[in-house]
Order: sequence, then structure tokens, then C-alpha cells
Amino acid sequence: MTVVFTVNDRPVEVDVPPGEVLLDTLRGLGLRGVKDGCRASDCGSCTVLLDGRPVASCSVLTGQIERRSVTTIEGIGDPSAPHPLQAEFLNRSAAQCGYCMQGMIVSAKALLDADPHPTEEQIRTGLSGNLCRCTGYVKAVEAVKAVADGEAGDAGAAAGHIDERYASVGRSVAKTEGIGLLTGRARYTDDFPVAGVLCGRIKRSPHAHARIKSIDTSKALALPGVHCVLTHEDVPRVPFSTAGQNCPEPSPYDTVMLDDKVRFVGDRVAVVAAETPVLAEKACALIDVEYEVLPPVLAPEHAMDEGAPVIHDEDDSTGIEDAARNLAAKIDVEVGDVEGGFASAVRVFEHEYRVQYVQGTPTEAHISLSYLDEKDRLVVVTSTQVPFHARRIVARVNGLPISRVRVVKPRIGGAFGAKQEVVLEDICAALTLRTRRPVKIKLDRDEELYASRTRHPQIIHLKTGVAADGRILARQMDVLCNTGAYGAHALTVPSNTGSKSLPLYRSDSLRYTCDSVYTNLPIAGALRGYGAPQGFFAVDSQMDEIAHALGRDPVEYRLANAIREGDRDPIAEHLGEGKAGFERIIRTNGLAECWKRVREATDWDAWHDSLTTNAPGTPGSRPFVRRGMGMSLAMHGSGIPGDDMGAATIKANEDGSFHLLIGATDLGTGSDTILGQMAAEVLGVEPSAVHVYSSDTDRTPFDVGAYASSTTYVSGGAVVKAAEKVRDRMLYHASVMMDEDAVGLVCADGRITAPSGKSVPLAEVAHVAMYGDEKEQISCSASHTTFECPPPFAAAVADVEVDVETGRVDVRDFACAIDCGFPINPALAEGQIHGAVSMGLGYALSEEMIFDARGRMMNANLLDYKVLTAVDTPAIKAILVTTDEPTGPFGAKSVSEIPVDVVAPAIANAIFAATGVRLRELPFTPERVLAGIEALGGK
Amino acid sequence: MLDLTNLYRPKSAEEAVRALLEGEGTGLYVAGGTIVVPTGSPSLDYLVDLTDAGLDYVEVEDTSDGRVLAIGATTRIADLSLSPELASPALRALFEATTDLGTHTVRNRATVGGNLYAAHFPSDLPPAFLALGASVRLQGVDGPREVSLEDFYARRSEVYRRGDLIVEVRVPGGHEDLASAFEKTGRTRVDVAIVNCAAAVTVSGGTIEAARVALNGVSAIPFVAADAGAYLTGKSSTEDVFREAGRLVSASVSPRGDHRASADYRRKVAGVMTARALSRAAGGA
Repeated sequence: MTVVFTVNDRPVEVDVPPGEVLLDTLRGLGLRGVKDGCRASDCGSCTVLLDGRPVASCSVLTGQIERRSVTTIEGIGDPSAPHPLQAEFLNRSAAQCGYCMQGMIVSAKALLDADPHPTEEQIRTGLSGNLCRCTGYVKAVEAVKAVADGEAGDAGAAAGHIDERYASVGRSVAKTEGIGLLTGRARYTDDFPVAGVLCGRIKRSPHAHARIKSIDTSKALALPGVHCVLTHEDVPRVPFSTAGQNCPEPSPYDTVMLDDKVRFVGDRVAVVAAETPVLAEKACALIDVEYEVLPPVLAPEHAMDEGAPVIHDEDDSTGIEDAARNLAAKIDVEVGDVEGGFASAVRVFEHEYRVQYVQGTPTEAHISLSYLDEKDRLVVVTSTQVPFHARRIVARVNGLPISRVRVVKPRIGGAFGAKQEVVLEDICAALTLRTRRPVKIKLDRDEELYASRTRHPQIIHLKTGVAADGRILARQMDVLCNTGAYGAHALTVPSNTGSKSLPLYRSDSLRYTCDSVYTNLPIAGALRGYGAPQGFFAVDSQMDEIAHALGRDPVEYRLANAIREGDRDPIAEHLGEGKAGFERIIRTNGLAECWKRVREATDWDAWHDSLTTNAPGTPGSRPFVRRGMGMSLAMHGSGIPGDDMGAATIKANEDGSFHLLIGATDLGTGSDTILGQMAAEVLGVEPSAVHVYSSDTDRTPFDVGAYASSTTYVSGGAVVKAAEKVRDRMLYHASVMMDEDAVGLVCADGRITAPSGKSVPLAEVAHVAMYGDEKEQISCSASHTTFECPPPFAAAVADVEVDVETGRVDVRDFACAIDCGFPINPALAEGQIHGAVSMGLGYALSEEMIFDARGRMMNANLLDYKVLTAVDTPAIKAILVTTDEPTGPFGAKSVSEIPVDVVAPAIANAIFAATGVRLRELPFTPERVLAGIEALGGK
Repeated sequence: MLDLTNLYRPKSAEEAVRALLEGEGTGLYVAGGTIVVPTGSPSLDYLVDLTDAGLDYVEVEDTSDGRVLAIGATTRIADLSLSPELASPALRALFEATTDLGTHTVRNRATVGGNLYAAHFPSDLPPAFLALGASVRLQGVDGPREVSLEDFYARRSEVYRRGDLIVEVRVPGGHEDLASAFEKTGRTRVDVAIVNCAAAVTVSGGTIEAARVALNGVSAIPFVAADAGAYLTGKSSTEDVFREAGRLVSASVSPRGDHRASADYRRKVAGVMTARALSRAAGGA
């Protein structure tokens, strides 16, 4: 049907199918800032103004808007003339991955157009339809407020640097790609215009556990417009792990591209390539499959039972601990004499903690695009955290040499661990190789939830023996870890559950055991925190219980027992990443300062002083509400020692600018920006003189990818080394030009200066180096690896109100302080804390994948999988505590994952303080909280 | 994903009903699209778009039975929210239901008629309209007719005929002392209701002269809790009385559990929502 309307004040006439939604029409018109996030008006990534009002364009039929007016992000401002909101979002580093931000800007504009001076509550309500996973909404709300209050430009990038010693690091430099993210110009995988691209779609299993007896693709293939259908009969059978990890890969090779067996509801059965999404969906429905349905394993507690169905009964998998018992991986590490410690303990505390299935829910679901380039090489443009691992895996399973594959990571819309994984690249490539056509596969939101990767659910048994003075004599953590249908990260995630959480409090002896078992449920994998949030929920909930039982103040008790500077981490060398680790000495520890700062940032002291001894909690804002505060501590790591490697190449241009080429992968975190700042610092130039290009396996050096909180610490180390080499070459040329000894020359403020006072502009040196007598392209590479893994430290305070009649928990305030060493970019580091805390709040309160009795996920949409909105999230307070880590670049440690660790225990302890109810199972849904309150009343 | 053969764009309610009845294959009405567009199956053949059917209005009518608030079916929730007519104690339940409903983008698209039609969601407007004694005007193939909203839900199979279109909701003015309030609980603040409840009471000299309590989320359809209403009439307006009304509601409902909440939880919070809605309606707080 023909529809006439205006877009960004320009009249358009389109001829569209009657069922087409406005989102697709606008993107088809080249307005790629309108993002596809959920197609159910739940996420807001596709928000546009319709006659001036924000609406989700995924739920508007194009045929409904005849003669109406549409404004998209592209119509609000552009990089040369940004709208004040876009400028202030940039200034405050409000955008991380940016995928949701374009919709958020649209909503914010409508809000201010209607009411130039909204309250904070009105701002949050006005952004409530725009889900964000990166930022906790904090800086976006602040930016809107600043624009409304005429205070734009007062904070953020305009605020200057925090350390006199440095010019470029320690500064809240605006993100290099920021203006593109905020004006809808940034390119994500879905935005690459490729002619003749086919739509790939996966046919998925309706059964949790079944064998495919026969599969008939003839009807699907007969459908005009369907180009290819692949089943297990059509692709090479090469066992691999989808986990993107370094070689030698620690996860079992228990997966093949397509198998004759399905192991969870949503497992791959076949894959099709067709002209349109509708045709691809129809083709999937026309594939006839005869299943032999097998009994499933749906409870990890019964996975290892005698006679339990065997999930991995294939004979070609390798690296599985004990396939016949559904045991993917096993860990047992003991330091000191645990049994002896328990025997001599005055009190022994034993509790069981349960944590649920959750999914990272990036606003951009997994998406891959593959094509053959003009040299017939396979190119995969993909939303990944691990381009180099993806290249290696895609090449191997498709039988190609690595040199024939190029993987490119464009901007990506959030990842959080779910994209440290080959979820689509292998099969997308297979379709391209078969059809010789470009193919794009993007997951629908429901597929993202049940068929990508999740956090490992665990049942954690924690036993602690203490002496009369409260000293911990022995501590044992036994974990039953559910890895789901495949063992991606089955060993390494639970390794971190123990290795991250157990060293925080000194103990004479420690033991950590884990059975990581298969079930016929979705595949667990990496997710921000990587096993540690599970462990800390148990450890820091129990520390609270122990302190109360011993009559000690929970804060004093924790700090008295916490690991100190100069301590040796007792477990690090025994429990590494799926193997023995390396000695770890704590060289910097800002834990006490972190606690001091969160205490000062919240009502802790006043609330604590108001406590009476005879009743839990204090009165809340309404009669049926009780208020309470809780706290927690955590430590984490910075990269994987002896495993991670990052590399960088820096080349000088003749005008004194530089290109920094890095394998490191910016997921929206700002790593492109901070790595550029590090190079600029060494080279003595403004960050804007360093142009960063990252994550392209043809054009950048190797990096393991963005995971394990490694980028600042490990990849940053490589950038510093490469920059120092380049600087040495610049100094050499300057020394010749000035006839001065190269030793003693200083490179700063865009000049090279000799002790004699002579100096020469860097641009001139660069020009002479290239065009002078020696004619050198200054270009240096370096790689960096380390056996160190300095922990960042964290403290948090949660201030909650509990509705004792409905069980609803309202987080009034949450403060989190992180000792991240030296923050290279304070605003971006704060953003990492905001995002990780907000993900932790969802983990603690609302997020949970729920399955029916046959293993099917019942809440596979963003209406029922409860990601917190702007109105559900408090104004999270992020505090940076600076220490000077001697092993890190400029003193830096990591920041991106550790804040997740502190949230659930702080909330649990706050709920206890408010109600007297000790909850040991996540999430604290209203129903679970109310049940706890009733159980307490019934005692 | 929708794969339609036709999208009809009628200019009146009469035309809309004809389009729906005459369309080939399976068809539905669509207005805001927040439910139909994302959940429409590929087997849906056509939609009848109500955008231009002239049903977007909020008007006050003076009738022989007093003032009536007439709300066109395709009025957006956000527009209803902003209507000055809702700024009275009597209609506060309706105002509160519109502000609690979904996100800002949903409120800008979703319509009053759609929200009443998709009551099973469970949606937020039905209890408010039920408590206020509203009726709906249906456009059918034989012309328009008016039925009480209570009948529309309770006797839907008798009342509702194929092709029928909700064109208007009519809210009677009621007693000058009438006051109402709406309560909702979900898993988070922005959520589809686990249970919601609206109460409309007329209190005179500390005595409850009339009360209507309506809920959604505790049975297959939204309903008026007649037992609670009967109990409340003539009682003193006190917290104890409201809590007892809540207990009566909890005892009388038989909700089904689902992935959002168990039957038991729904039953319990139905009583809590009832007591709170009554308390706020009566107390004006």
C-alpha cells in the first residue's frame, strides 16, 4: 500500500506491505539510528516522535500514519549541529553502547518540549519506555536535568583532570565515538548496507531432550525465495566449544554446528536462508522433523543421579569430566586443613544459597552478517566481544584456514559476557559458504533470552568455622553449578565463584569444590562478574549472619577480617582459570576507604544510630513499609593472569597525529577512548590526536577480547609499550633535528623539549621523520601479558524499604565505591559502576528466567523478564577510590565487573535489617519476600 | 511477524464493522497496536485500523441521568491522563490507572478501547471503570447499543457478537461525595499488574453509604466484588472495616497462578490492594 507522510520535515511516499511496521520502513529509508531491540514496544530502542510524541515504531504499522509527521534521531541534531541534549549526553558520557541512547534522546526531547523544567521523577517517567543495560540511567537523567536547569557543560568532560602528573589520563574525555552514538550515525552490525543479503533463521527445538529421527526440508526448499536449508546432514561435524576463550581452550568440546540430537528447548535443529524475514520464518515452519523425545534433566540436583538421562552421549566430544554422569567439569581445591579448622571452631555456620538463571539482555540482540569479499575471503561482521577467538573458531568448524576469514566488530549494542561466545557466526558463515551470498542472522528477543547465553545458576553450600574471637578458622564452599545443555565456561565460571569470593576474608584454611553439571536447559556462559556475584552473595550474606550471631557489628567484623595490603591471596595459585593459578600479592587495597566513602554518601550513620535493639528495621514512608540498610564488600580481578594477551600498533602520521590499532574490543565501555588517552599521555599529545581503530582481525593486532575485566589492565599495558616505542622513535628524530642527545628529551604538550630548553613541535618531527632524509614510517607494535591480577575492591550500601504486605522491595538509595587503582577516565569508570550496579539490582530483585515442567522458558520477552526501568532504579551513587597499583598502566586496576558482586548481598542484608528476614535465594521477588515475612511471623 | 494481505482504514465506526465482517480470512481491529502488532500471528490476514474512525475524544454530556463522561475508544491513555475531567476525587481511580499503565511510549499509543478489550492482560483500566459503574457503547452490524461494563465482562459470550466494536466508554457522574482510588502491585514499578483494584466509595458523616470494589488479575475477567460492596454499605469508614473487606475479597477469589505470581500470592495481595484502595478513596489521601 502507498503511504504518504513526513519524516524529519521531509515528505515521503512509500509503497509497503500492509503488515510492515514503521521501524522497518524508517530503516529502509536509511534512517538507521532507529534501532531494532525487541519488536514488542518493551525496550524503546526504536523510539521516534509521531506528531511530536515518543512512540515505539516497532508497534506502529506504517499504513497507520498517512499524512502524519515522524521525527527520528537523525532529525533532532547531527554531529556538526547537535541538539543541546546530544551535546550534554556526550559531555557527561551518558552513552555507553549507545544502542538505547538514540531512543532515549528522542524521549528526552519530547519531555523537554512538553515541560522545560521537569522534576527528576518526571524525567524518569519520561524515559521509562527506554530500557538501558549499560548505564543505570544515572548520567542520562543528570544530563536531561542539566539541560533543563541551564547547567549543561558544568560537569563531565568539562571538569578537567584529577591528577597533576598527567595531561591525558585521569580526565573525563568524551567518548571518541560518542557523537555518532548520540546522533544515530554510529554503525552497528544491522546497519551495514550489503546488497542482496539473505535473512538467516534458526529452526529451534520444541523439546528439551530429543533425538532427530528424520528431517525433511523439501517443503521449505520448494518455497520460492528460500535459498538454502542446512541440517546436521549438510555441515561438517567438528566438536568445539562456543566459548570465546584463549588457547588452549578450557571448556569442553561438546558442541557441533548442527547435531542429530537436541538438548534444550530452543536448541538448533536446522538453519535457513531466505529473501525476507517472513519467508525465513515460513521456511522454518515447513521443515518436518520427526523426534524421538527423550526424558529430560531439568533439575541440576538430579543431573548426576544413578540412571539419569545422559545428555552428552555422543562419542566425539572431548574435555567433558564425566559425560555418563552429566558432569561437565569438577573442581576440588583445599588450602590448609579445613576439617581440622572446623573441629577446633567454637561456632560453625552452614547455609545454602540459591541463585537463578538470568540473561545479560543486551539491547542489541546477537547478530552476525557474513559475506564473501572481492577476493573470495569470508568476512564476518558481528556483534562480538571476541573477534579473534571468533575467527579461529569459525575457521576451524567450517574447514577454512584462519587466513581466509576476517572478523570485524563494529559498534555493538551491549554484550556483558553473552557475546564472549560464538552464538551465530559459525552457522551464518556456513550459509554464506553454501549460498555464496551475504547472509544476516539476528536473534529475536525471545531467542536472545533462551538461546544465547546466561549466568550460571548455582546451589551454594557455605560452611564457616570461627574461633571465639570471631577469627575464621575454616571455610568451605561447595557449589552445584548448572551449565545447561552445553559446557561453555562450565569449568572457568565456577572456578571464579570460589577464587574471587573466598580470599576476601582471611581464613586459616579454605576448600572449594564444584560439580558443574549438564541439564536440558539454556546454555550458561559468561556474564558480567563471571561467577563471582554468585559467590559473593553467599559469602557476604553469611558474614552478616556470623557477625549478628557473634554480637559483632557487621561492618567492624568484616573489616577486621578482610584481606590486607601485603597479604598473599591464599587460593589464587591453586585455583586459576580452570587450572592452577599464580601467586597473588595484594599491593594496593582501598577497601577501608571504599567503606568510609559509601558510609558518608548515604544515611548509614543516622540510620544506624536510630536502631533500637528490640525490633528489626525502622518505620518507612508509609505504615506498611519498613526501612533497612545493608552493606557488603567485594574484591575481583584484573584480567586472567598468564592467559590474557593484548596487542597494539601505533603509527605516526606526518602531521603529528597517530593511529592506534588495537585488537581490544569496545563493547560500549569506552575502551577505545581510554586506550587512546593512554597513548596520548605517553606521546604527549591531546587524546583527539590519537585515532583509534579496533577489533578487525585483518587490520588490528591480536587481543583475547573484552572479558575478565582485562582491557584497561592488559590491553592498556600493550598500548603503553607500543606508545613508548613510538615515542622513542620520535625522540630519535628530534635529537637529530635539534642536535641533542636523545636521552633526556621530553615529549609533552605536543612538543619535544631538550634539557637545554631547545624544543621542536611534534608535528615537525613527524613530518621530518616521514619526508626527511631517513624517510621512516614510524610504526611500532607491542603485546602485553602478565602473571599479575591485582584485585579492585568494593564497598556498597543499600537503603531499602520493604512493603511488608506485598513483599515489594523499593531501593531508595544505593552507593558503591570502587578502588579501581587510578581511573583513566573518571566519568567512564563511574559509568561502569552505574551499569554493573543496575545489572546487580536486576539480579537481586527482578530478573529470573522461569521454565515450565517441560523446560520451556515462560517469560521470554521484556514484559515478563523484568529488566529495571528508569523509574525502578534509584539514583545510583558511584564513587571512585584511587590507589596507585604498581603493576597497572598509570596505576590502574579494573572496574567493570566488580560492582555486580556487591549488590545482591547488600540488598539481602538491607532486607534483613528492615524485616528480620534472611533471604538466601535470588531474586528477592515480592512473592519470595512476603513468604519470608510470613514464615518469620509464624515462628 | 505480521504478513497481512490488507490493512483497512475506515472513516467511521460503521465502516469499521463492515470492513471487519467483510474482510477475507482472519481479521482484527487495531488502534494503538501495542498488543496486536507484536503478538499478531502470521495467520492473521487483515487488520482494521481505527485511527481515523472518529473515536478519539473525551467529552462531558449532560443527560437526564446527570453528567456523563464519554470517552472515545481510540483515546490514547496519555490523552485521557491529561484530561482535566479526571481531576476530581470521584474519578481519581481512573486517573491513577492511566498513570500506572505501562511506559510513556505505551501510554502514547495504547487506547482506552484496546485496554478494555485486552482485559485478560490483565489491564489496568477495567477495575477503574467497573468501580465507577461505567458502560460501553458497542457498534455492531445492526447499529450501536450500550451495555454495562460489568455485563460486558461477566456475560461476554451473550453480549458480544462477531464484529462488535467498542466505540465509547461512558462514566456516570455519581454522587457528589463519591471518591475513588486505584491500587496496583506488580513485580516492579513498571509492570503489568499482578493484581490491581479500584474502589469507589460514598462516605457521609463517617458512614459508608455505597461502595464498589473491582479487581483484575484474580480471575479470568475483571469483576466487581459484590460481597465486599455489600459488607461495606452502612459500615463506619475505618481501617479495620477496609481490612475486613480485603479479607472478604481474598476469601472469595480463586485466582490462577502463572509465571508472574502464584495463586496464593494473588489471593493475598488482592485483599491488600482492596484495603488500600478503600482507605485512600475514603480518606482522600
